[in-house]
Amino acid sequence: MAGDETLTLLTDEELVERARRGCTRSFGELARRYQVPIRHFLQRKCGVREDAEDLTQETFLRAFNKLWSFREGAEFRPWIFTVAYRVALNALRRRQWQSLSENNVPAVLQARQGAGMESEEQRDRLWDRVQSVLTPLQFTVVWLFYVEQMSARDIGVIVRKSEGAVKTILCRARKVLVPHLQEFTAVFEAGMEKHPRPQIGNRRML
Amino acid sequence: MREDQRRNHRSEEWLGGLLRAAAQAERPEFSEDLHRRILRQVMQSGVVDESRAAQSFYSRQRWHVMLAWTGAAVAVLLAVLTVTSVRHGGLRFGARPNSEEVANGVNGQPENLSGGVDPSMARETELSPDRSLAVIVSTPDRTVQQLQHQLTQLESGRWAGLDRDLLIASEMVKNQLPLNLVAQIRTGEAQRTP
Repeated sequence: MAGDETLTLLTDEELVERARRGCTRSFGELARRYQVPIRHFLQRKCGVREDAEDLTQETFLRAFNKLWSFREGAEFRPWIFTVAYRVALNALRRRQWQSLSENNVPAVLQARQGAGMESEEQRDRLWDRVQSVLTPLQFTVVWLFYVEQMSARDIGVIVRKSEGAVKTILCRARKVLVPHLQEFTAVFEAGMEKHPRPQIGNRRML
Repeated sequence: MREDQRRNHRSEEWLGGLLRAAAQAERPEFSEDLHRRILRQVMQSGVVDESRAAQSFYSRQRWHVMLAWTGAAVAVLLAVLTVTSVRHGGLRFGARPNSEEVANGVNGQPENLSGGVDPSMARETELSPDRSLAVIVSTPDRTVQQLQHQLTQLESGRWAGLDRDLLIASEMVKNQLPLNLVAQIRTGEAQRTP
């Protein structure tokens, strides 16, 4: 059995192959590589930070259970994001049902309005604004394209759309985003000049 | 035009840079605790998953076997049906019209086309092929007319020329006779035999 140092040198697909043959440490290495991007995506998609950890765990567990269905020659990155996307959709649906049964405002709506956010500062964040002006699908496509820097084809695989449809979604999202964000940055910069905010940790506030 | 493209490109770069930077700023840090939890769960589910994979494999295999058996059963059934249809001259898809009715109604021919044929003899001929042969052999001058009548009935009784039962019946009638007699029947000549 190779050591952990050797595992870091292997590609995702090689690790998947080893994990399929029963090497759980290889899967551990995959989880180490993708924990942050998956958690970040889920955190943004579902809105609540605490849930994102559970959903990340669920994503990796589901991926491990479904590893036998991973096609040879396919890329692992779009595949794991597909699993994460499905987990997020399920969680959102579940939460929506719970909220409806409790006769409350749906939690998804709350998250999108920024009501579930930790602080006012968080609501000022750029991605919260992005999330509030885009549809959930547009948000997913924009996130995967700009943050994860995936191709339109890979995104199409994840959201089950054609490459052309993904490009159209991106184009429409850009048209909505550019004026909104120009306005947002202008207001924010003006506000920063009047009341400069201190940076929290290593996070850059926008 | 170029100015527009340049402006679009610039706004695209600006948007991409802004979104990436914002995402980078709020990116969560790697959680060792979460990683351990994931590994623990994966380890726990490892054995279960193998059995699940095996179960799904066996269930798929069982399904394939069932499919094969069903296919074989269908093939046997089809073979039996084919053999039966060949032996009995085809499958009947609907109610077969009465050959006599068709002969009389469609062609407008009277039941007793040859006026010289005895009705009782015709009835006997219809009932028993062996006896009809005896009649044919004993009375050769009537034979041609009699047989022509029978064959006309048989031929016109074949609905759209598809009824193999009647075709076989007419062929059987023809096969009982000498060749020159068959030729006479086909041409419709009613000649007296010397």
